[in-house]
Amino acid sequence: MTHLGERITDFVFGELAPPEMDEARRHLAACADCRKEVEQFERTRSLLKMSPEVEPPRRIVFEFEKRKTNPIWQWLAPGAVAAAILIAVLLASQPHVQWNQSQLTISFGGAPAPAVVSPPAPVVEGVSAQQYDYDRILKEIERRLDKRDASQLKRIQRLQDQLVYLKAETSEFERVAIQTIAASGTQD
Amino acid sequence: MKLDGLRPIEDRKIVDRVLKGDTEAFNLLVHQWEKPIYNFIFRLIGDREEAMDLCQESFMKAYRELATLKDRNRFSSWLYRIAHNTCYSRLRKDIGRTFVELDPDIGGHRQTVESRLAVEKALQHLPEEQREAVVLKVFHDLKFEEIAVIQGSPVSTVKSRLYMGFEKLRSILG
Repeated sequence: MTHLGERITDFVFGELAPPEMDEARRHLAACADCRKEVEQFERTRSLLKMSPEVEPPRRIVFEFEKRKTNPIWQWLAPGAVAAAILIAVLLASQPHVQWNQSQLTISFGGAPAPAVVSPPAPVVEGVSAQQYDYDRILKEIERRLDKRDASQLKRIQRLQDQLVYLKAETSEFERVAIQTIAASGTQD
Repeated sequence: MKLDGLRPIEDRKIVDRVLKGDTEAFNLLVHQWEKPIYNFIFRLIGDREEAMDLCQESFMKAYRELATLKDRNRFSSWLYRIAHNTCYSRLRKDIGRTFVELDPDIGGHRQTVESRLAVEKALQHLPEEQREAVVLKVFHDLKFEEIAVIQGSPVSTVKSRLYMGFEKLRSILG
């Protein structure tokens, strides 16, 4: 086998196929130059790894507009009497074509208004501390999963989502607490 | 607390939910990916606030373009690609300007801070493509093929960038 050359990256990051990996190992056992290069490569990687991940200065949370309902439908909704009066007025003023258009626009058939999704507006949201009985929540999730109640699946999904958030928030608090304790320890 | 058993929800499932109209679920994707994406951008740009803005911008683009995601199992690669494009368009705009903030305000031991500063400084000496290849490989453990997709380059080019980047870093870091 020739020297590793640029294949050193595949070797160090374990991306050579198993037979090639074995071949590279055999070559390294016999070649001091390549061995030295691998060592230097590993050393550089270790130095880089000493730089820890940083926390983002803010959390990103998108807010989405709620589903918009047709304002005309909202106007009609308070009562059938009001709707009847409106329809009567519409019929009286614009008998045929306008009536059909009104029906479509007002959605008399109860057709839902299309969901309107506006581009998300990023906001900064503080993390608030709350106490949760995680074990109880998990047991409840497990119990519901055991029952395999399809109607509850959506709720279970939501609970799991919340737990993912809580887990991350908890680690964030722990990190801050550890830093605070470390800082106070230094001052002492 | 018994939380270790909880695994992050699969990206694919969340993407499905968002595309079915559960737009709020997008915040779960943000929550799962904001830290890695922020760190990727920060190491590429070198400025904390700028990185935050670009991170936010990347997620907004991701939300708007989510319906164009072809393979929902590859959400993360796709997201990194968006962050890559966002950073590069900013870097192109700011040719000549160098973002070297190097603010040591991260808490922890002095040695850690010094190591971090040395690494950040050294990374800023690499050309952008090499820096990005090194960051994605070393800090994000991506496969060469994934980095190739993100950079829009052949795998062989990515490997060369990584190799040359390491050579340069070795001479800087010792």
